[in-house]
Amino acid sequence: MSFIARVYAGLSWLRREVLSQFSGKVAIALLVAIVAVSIYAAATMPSNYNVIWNYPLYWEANPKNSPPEWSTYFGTTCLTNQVYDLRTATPRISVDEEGRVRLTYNMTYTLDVKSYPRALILIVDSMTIPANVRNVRVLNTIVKPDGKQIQVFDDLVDFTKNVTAGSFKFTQTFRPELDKIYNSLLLNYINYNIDPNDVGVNYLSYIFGEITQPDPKSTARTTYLTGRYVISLTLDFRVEGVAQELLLRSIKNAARFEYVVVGTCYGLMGTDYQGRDLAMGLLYGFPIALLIGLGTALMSTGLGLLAGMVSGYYGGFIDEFIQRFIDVLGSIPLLPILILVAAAAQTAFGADPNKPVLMLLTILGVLVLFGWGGLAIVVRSMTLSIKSELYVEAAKSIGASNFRILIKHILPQLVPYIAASLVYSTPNAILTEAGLSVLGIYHGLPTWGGILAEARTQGRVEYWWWIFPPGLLIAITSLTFVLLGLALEKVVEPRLRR
Amino acid sequence: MGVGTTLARRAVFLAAALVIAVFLTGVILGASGYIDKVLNAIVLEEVRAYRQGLSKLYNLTAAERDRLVAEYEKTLRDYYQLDKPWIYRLVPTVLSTLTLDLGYVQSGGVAEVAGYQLPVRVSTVVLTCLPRTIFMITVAEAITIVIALLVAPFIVYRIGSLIDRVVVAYAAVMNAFPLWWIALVMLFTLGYRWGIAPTRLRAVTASINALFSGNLLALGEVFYYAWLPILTIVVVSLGPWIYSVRAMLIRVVKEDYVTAAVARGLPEKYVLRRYIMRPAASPIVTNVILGLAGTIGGYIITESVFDWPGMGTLYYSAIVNADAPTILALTYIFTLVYVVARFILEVLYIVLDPRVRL
Amino acid sequence: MSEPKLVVEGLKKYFPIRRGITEALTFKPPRYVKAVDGISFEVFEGDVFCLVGESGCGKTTTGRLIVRLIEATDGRMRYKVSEELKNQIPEDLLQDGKYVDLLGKLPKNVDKALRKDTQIIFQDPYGSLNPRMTLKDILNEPLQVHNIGASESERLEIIHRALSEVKLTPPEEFVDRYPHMLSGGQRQRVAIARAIILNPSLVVADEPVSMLDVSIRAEILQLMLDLKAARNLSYVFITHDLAVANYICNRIAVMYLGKIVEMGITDKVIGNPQHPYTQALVAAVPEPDPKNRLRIKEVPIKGEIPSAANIPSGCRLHPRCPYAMDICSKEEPPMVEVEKDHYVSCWLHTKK
Repeated sequence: MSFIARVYAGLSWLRREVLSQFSGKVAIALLVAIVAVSIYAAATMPSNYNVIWNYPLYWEANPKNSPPEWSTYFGTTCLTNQVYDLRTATPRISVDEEGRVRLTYNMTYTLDVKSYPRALILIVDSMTIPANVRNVRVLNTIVKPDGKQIQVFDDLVDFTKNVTAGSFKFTQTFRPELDKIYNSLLLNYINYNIDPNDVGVNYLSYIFGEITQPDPKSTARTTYLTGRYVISLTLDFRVEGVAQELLLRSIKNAARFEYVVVGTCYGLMGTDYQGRDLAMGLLYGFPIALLIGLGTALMSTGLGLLAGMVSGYYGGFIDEFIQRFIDVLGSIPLLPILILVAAAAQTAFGADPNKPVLMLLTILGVLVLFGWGGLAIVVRSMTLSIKSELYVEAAKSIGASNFRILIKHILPQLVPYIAASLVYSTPNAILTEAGLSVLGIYHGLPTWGGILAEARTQGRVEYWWWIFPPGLLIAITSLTFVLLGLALEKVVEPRLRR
Repeated sequence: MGVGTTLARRAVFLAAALVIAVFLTGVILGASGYIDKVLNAIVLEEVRAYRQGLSKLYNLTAAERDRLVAEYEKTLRDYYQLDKPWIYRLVPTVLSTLTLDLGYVQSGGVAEVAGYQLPVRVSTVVLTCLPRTIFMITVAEAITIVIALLVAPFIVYRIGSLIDRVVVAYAAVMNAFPLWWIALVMLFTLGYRWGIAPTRLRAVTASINALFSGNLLALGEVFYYAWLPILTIVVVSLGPWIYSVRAMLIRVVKEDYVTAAVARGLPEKYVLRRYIMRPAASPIVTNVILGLAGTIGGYIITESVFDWPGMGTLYYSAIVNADAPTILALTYIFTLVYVVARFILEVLYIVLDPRVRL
Repeated sequence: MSEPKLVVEGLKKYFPIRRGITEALTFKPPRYVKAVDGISFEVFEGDVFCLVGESGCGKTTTGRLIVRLIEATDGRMRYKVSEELKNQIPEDLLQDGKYVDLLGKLPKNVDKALRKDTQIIFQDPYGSLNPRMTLKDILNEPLQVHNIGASESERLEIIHRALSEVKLTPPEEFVDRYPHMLSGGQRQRVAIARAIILNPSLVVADEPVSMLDVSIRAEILQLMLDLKAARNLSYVFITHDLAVANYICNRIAVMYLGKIVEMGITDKVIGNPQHPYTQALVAAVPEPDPKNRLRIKEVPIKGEIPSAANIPSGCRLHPRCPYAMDICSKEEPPMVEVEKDHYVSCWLHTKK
C-alpha cells in the first residue's frame, strides 16, 4: 500500500501538469465519471449476465424494438410497460370444501394514452409446486372501463404426471387465447358484427379499445378507450390435503411470477429486437469497454516498455533484432490481418462454449502484438540517452545492478511516455473491437460494439435509441482518453507548450 | 555508412516485411483451419443443392444418383484441393502471389463484388475495385489533406486564439468518433430519413463502368453516389489532420531561427514558406504519402457500412468466402503499396533534407 | 615509504570503430580508437596521484577503467585490499597476500565489495546527480545497494553525517532538496559525499573542480584534502590544469595520446619538466607574477593533437615536436628514470 502511495505521490507533478489544462480537467472529470459508472455496473452486474443477455425467454415480457419511456416528451405516443410482480401482491384466498385453493389477484391498469398495449403475458418461472397439488386452473379476465368483461385466457395445467418427482419447478408463460377472447366478445357485444380474423390479428384493440358499429350492416371497429381497467387473475389449485401456506410460500419464492401488460416504450434506453433492455446492455458495457481498452493498453504498453528498455539498455544483437521486428510489424497492414484473424477465430472456436471470450482475447492479442512497436521505439531512444547520463555512470560505479538502474533511474523518466501510450491505445482497442463487431465479426459479448452490430443487422433506420447511444458512449469514452492524451502531449512534447 | 548502404538496407528489410506479411496471412488462413472449414461448408452446401437438383429427375435410380453426387463432390474437392494438407495448397499460392502471379478468384461471391462471374483473374477483380475505392476514399483523403494544409498554417500564427481552440476541440471530438459510426448516422439521417443522399450506393458500379467506357458525363453520376461517403470522411478526418499538421508546424515555429526571422521583420508569408513549411516538409510529406497509400486498401468497415463495392468490401468478401488467392493477393498489394510508399519516403528525406547529401 | 595502493601495468583500452558494409565486405581489418594504449603507474597509499594532459589524451578513460565503469582491453590493475576486505576474498585471488587484479575474473560478491572500495567523483556536478531524486535518495542509493544500515533511520543518520562531513550543514535542511535547488559547488559536495559514504579507500576524481566557479575551486580542493587526511584516502586526481595539479598532487603523470610521457614527484615534474610535451604544458600555465608578464614564453610544440584513431608511428609527439629526430618516427621511446622518482619517455633522454 505504501508503494502505491509513493507512486501516487511521485506522480503528483504529472497530475498537476494534466490538471493545469482545460482538456485535462474535462478528461479527468469524464474519466472519474466513467470509472464510477463502471465500478457501479461491475458491482451490480449479475454473475450470469452473459447468459441472461443471450437467453431470449428472459426478455419475453418486454416490448421489442421499443423506444425509451422519455421519448414521450418528444412526441412519441408512449405506453409504459406495466409489470405486476405477483410474488409480493396479496391475493384474495378462498378454500372450498373440495380442497380447492383459489387465489385471486386484482390489478388495476390505467390506460391514459391513445394506444394499445403490445401484448399480455403471465410468466411463471421456477415456482415450486408441492407434491400434493394435482392441477391448477389459470384464469384471466379484464374488466373494461365501460364495464364489459373479456376473458383473456383459461388454462388447466395438470401436475399429476410430475407427481412421481415429488415437488417440482413449474415454469410456463400464459398468453391470450383468441377463442376465449372471441367468445367473450360475442357474449358482451351481442348485435355486433365482429370479424374473427380481425380479432385474431388485433385482439388487443378489442380488449383495450372501444368497439363501435355505426350501422348494423357494417363490421365492428375499434377505437382507443382510455380509462381504468381491472385485470383479474385467478389461480385455482386442486390440492389433496391442506396446502395453503405451502402454496403461498412457493409463490413468494418463485424466480418470477409476473403479469405484464406490454407497453410500447421501455425503460431508460428502450429495447432491441429481442426485447432486451438496452439500458442494461449499455450500463454493463462500461466495465467491459474499460477492460478491453485498459487491458489491451496495459499489455501493449508493458510490452513496448520492456522491449524498448531492453533494446536501448543492452543494445547489441537483441537491439538489432527488436528493431527489425518492429520494422516488419509496422509494415504489415493491421486491420486486414486483424479481420482475417478474427474471422478465423470465429470459425476455429465455433463449437467452444467460451467462444465469445476466446474470440475477444484473440482480437485483443493481435492488437497487443501490433500495438507495442511505437512505444518501444520512443522508450529505446529515451533509454539510450538516459543510459549515457553521468548519474547512471555514478550509480554503476556505486555497484548498482542493471535492474536497479533500469527501475530507479530510467523508468521514472519514461512515465509521461508510458502514460501517453496507455492513453492512446485505450480508445484504439475499444474502437477496433466495436468496428469489428459492426463489420459482422461479432464475438457475442454484450459490448457497445455488439449492440451496435445488432442494431445494424436486426434494426431499422427509425430505431435511433438503438443506434445512437452505443456509438455515443464509445465516442465519449474515447474522447475522454483523447482529451487526456491532448493534455499529456504537452508533457511529452514540451515544444508544443505555448 | 553511406546513403546508398542505408537505402539498400531499408529496401532489404521492407522486402522482407512484404514476404513475411504474405506468408503470415497464408499461415493464419491454413493453420487456424479456417480455409478448410469454410471450403468444406461450401462443398457441402453445393453437394446438397446438386442432390436436390438430381432428385427432380425421376428417371435416375437411387444408386445412379448417389454415384453422380459422389462424382460431383470429388470434382469439387479436387477443385478446392481439399484432400491435400493446407501447407501443400497454400505455399504454392503464396509463392506465386509473391511473384505477382495472382491467379484466379475461387469464390463466386468475391467475383460478384466486382461484377464478374467465375472464372475471373484476381488481377481483373482488383483492377475493377481499385478505381471505385480511389473515387471515394482516396479523393476524400486528398480533399482533407488539401484543406488541412491550407488551414493549419493559418492557425499556427494564432495558437491559443478562439479559432485555434475550436479547431483543437473539433479535432479531439472527431478523433474520438469512429468513422464508421458517423457513416452510419449520416447514411441514416441524410440518406434514409431526409432522403437527400442516395442510399443504394452499390449502384455506383454502373456509373463507373460507363465512365471507363468513355462516357465522361458519368463522372457526375459517380459523384452523385460518392458525395455522402466523401463528405463523411472529410468531416471526420479533417480534424485530426489539421491537428497533426498544426503540431508539426508548431515544432518548427518554436525554433529560434523562426523567431529571428520574424524579428528581422520578414513578411509573414515569406517566413511561413521559407522558414516554417520547408523544415516541416518532411514530416508532412510523410503523413501525406502514408495517408494516401493507406487509402488504397479501402476503409474496410466504412466501405461495408456504405455498401461501397471497393477494395475493402472485396477483401471482406474474400475473407467471408475464404478465397485464399484473393486474400493473399490483397494482403500482398496492401503491404506492397505501403512498403513502396515507405521507400519513396526514404528517398524523399534525402532530397528534402539538405543536411543529407548523396 | 608506504606501499602501493594500486599498481597499473600495461593498461589498454581500444574502442572499435563501426565499419561500413563495404569495409566489412572487403575484409578490411577492424579499426580502433586507442584511447589508452599501454600505461603503467603506481598509486601509493595516501597519494594524490594526478593524471594530466589535454582533452582526448585518455586520462578520463583511465579513471573510468580504474573504477571499472568500462572494461579494459588488456593489462593488469593490482589493487591492495584492506585487512577487513581480505576476509571476503578467496585465497587464490590474492597476490602477495594482499593484491587483487581488478581486471581478472572476480566472483560477484568480491566485485561488489571492491566497487564499494573504489569510488569516483565526476567532472560535471549538474549531470552526475539524478534531477528527479532528492539528496536523501541520491545518498541512500549506495547504502541500499550495499545493504548498509539496519533501518531507514540509521541510514538517514549516516546520510546526515556524510552531509556534515562535506560541510552541507545543517544536513536536515538539505536532505529533501533536489539537485536543481543547489549551486554547482554544493552539488559537487553532494557528489563527494556520495563517493565517501561507502568508506572507500581509493577515490578517482575526474576533474572535480573544472566546471566550478574559480572562487570555490580552492574550497572544494581543500575539502578533498581534509577528507583524505580524515579518512586515510588515496586519490587518483584527473585534471588538465597544471596549477590545480601542482596544488593538490604529490605525484603526477603526464599523458599524451593514450601514453604516459612523463611521471614522478610533482615538484620534479613541474619544476623540471624533461619531456618536450610537459615543457609545453608548463609553459602554457598563466604566469601569476606580474613582473614576469612580459616575458615571452616559448611554446615549443606546434599544431593540434591528432585523433586517437590515427596515432603517429614511433613517438606519438614526433609530428609536433621541435626536437624530433629520425628515430622518433620509427620507434617508441622507453620509459627511463632521469632522476630519482622522475621518469620520462623521450629519445632525448635515452642513450641508444
